[in-house]
Formats: sequence, C-alpha cells, structure tokens
Amino acid sequence: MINSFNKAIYSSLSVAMLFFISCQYDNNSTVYYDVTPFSDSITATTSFSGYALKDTVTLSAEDSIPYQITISSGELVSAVFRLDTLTLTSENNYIQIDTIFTVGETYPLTLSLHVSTQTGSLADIKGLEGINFEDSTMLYVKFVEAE
Amino acid sequence: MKNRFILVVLLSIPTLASAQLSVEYTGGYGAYTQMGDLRKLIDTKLQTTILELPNAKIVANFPNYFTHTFGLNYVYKREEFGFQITRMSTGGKIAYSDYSGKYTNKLILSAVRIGTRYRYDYIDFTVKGKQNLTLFWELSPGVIVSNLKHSIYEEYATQTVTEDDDGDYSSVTFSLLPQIGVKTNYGRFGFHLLAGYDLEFGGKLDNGYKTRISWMGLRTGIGFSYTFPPRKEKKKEKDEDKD
Repeated sequence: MINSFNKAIYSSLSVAMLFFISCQYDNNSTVYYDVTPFSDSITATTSFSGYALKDTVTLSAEDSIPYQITISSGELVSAVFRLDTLTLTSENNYIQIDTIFTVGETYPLTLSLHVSTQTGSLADIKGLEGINFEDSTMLYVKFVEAE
Repeated sequence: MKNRFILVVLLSIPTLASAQLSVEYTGGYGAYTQMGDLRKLIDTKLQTTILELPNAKIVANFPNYFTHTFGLNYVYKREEFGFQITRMSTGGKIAYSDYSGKYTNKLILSAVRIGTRYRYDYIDFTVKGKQNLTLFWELSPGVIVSNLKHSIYEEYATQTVTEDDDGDYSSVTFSLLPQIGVKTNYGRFGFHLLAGYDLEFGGKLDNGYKTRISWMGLRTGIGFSYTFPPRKEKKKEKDEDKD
C-alpha cells in the first residue's frame, strides 16, 4: 500500500518535472499562400561559337570568347564566368579575358547560372527553383607564348 | 556576518522540530502585459524579412502562456517558508509557406524564476461539515533570468536549412509576486488554486536594441502538494510497534 502510494507520488512529480522541462513555447501556425506552381521544366543550353563544351581554347594574348545561353522559359537572373578563381566580365555575349595566366598552364572556365521560374514562390525567391548551379566547367583555357 | 546567520539558522532548527517538509507543483498560466519591446523587435525582423518575402507575416506575437512551478517548503503550523522555481516561456514567430516550402523566423523567450516564499493560512472554511478549505496568501520575492533565442528554419522539397543566432541574449529581473488562493488537504496530499500579480523591476537585454524584458502580469495556477511525515510520527509508530 505504502509502496504504491510512494510510486504515485514519484510518478506525479516525474510528470510535473517533465512538464517543467518541456514547457518551452511553441507555435505551429503559419500563413499559406496559394502560389501557382511552375508546370514546365526549364532547360538552359550554353554554347561557345567554334568550340564544343569542355574543349580547350588556346590564348596567347588578352581576348574574348563568344557565348550564347538559351533558356526554354523563366528568366535569366545571373550568369557568372570564372577562369580558375578569377571572376570575368561578360558583355554582349562575349567573355572578356583581360589577364594572362601562367604560360603553358591550362585553367578551367566555369559558369555559375541562376534561372528563375518567376513563380514568386519561396523556393524561387531563395534560388532553389528553376536552374541554379555553381562553377560548372564549360571550357578549358590554355595560355601559350605569343608568336 | 555569514557565521552569525548560520548560527541563527542552526539555533532555530529545534523550534521547528514539529515542522514538516512539503513539495508542490503548480501548473499555471501567465498573462504578460509588458511585452511591447519584444513585439517591436519582431516587427523590426518582419520589416527586414518582407524585403525578400513580401507575404511573410507575424503569426505569434509574445502571447500569454503556461507556467510551471516547483516548490519546496517548510510547513510550520499555519505558515510555510520555502523556495520555488518557475519556468516561463513565450515567443514571436514570422511565417510564410507555399507549395515549394516553409519559412519560419522565431524569437523564443524563456525564463526561470527563482524565489523564496512565505505563505500564511489566513482563514479556514468548513465545507459539507467535514472538509476544510483554507484561504491563504503568500509573498514571493525572486529573480527572473530570461534568455532570448533567435532561429530561422526553412524547409524545401529537397533540403532544410536551419540557422541559429550565435548570440543568446539574457537578462536578470527582480520580481515580487503576491498571491492569494485556496487549498484543501486529503491526508498528506494537498490541492490548491491561486492567483496573483507579478511585479518586476529592471531587466534589459544586451542585444544592441536594449530590449526590455518584463514578465509582469497576472498569474493563475492550480497544483498539488505532498507533505512528508514529521520525524515525531515515525517515533510514535515505532513505540506503538513495541507495545
């Protein structure tokens, strides 16, 4: 009888202790917006005039490389080219290479691309919808002595 | 000075020989009337958030919430002296969700109140001729240590992102809690119902905004207690066994 009474006390205090520890405020409510999802898939194609993807371009002086990015839908938010770790400027579909790297060495030319679906959804705003990739190798650039 | 205090405590123990120890738990509800600074803080966060998510909204704005209190008391005749520890919590939340994911930006304010307590049984009432109801009042001075935690959680179909602020901000507030209530006993078990108002002084966070933290407001609670038998009774039981 006494044992069961003690058990009842200990159980009650244990439950109370559990309440005490776990009483942190929480709220599960949210606001839901009925955004129309993007129905089609987006494709982006990158091409370089005179070169296939992952070809090696040989340069002996400052130069520019023509490119074309074609997207099936959505909006192109950003396209950033890098030569090794150097961010390059690109204007009017030309990548400007204004710096000569070490002669005899080959460097990757990478592209970071973000194409938005334009749905206005959370994932679209955060850049997780549509096309979003970082530093994908497009070409290789080899620097040689000027003749 | 410290030695003198210990001496007084030790000398007073014999006078409390017939005192009993009791433990109690009170589940309650706190109405927090002074959360204006925190409401401003979450509104500031909303203004930043809507630059990126224009449809984000505040869905929780530091509401009233449950409290949990443990007490340990010395019961002597109609008086109780003791310690109590109370856990309080509330929070603010900015939320947005659609088919592609969920976004929540939370500010959770938690606090622990550590206080002493003096309770006095004021009037006894007889109900149905057998069970006593006692009207009591109590006063509890204490300190409240509050902690504010900020976190952002994003959930998408392909990934979840959790960001916790490195800085947890805390503040200390002084509190005085007068309460009145009624209680009834069934053997060593007691049940009580009480209400009061928590008065607070000071307490600002060191978070740059100097946000004032105050848990001031109405408190209500319902709880139970258990009073341990005094040593004298055990001796009596042993004497009875010998007979």
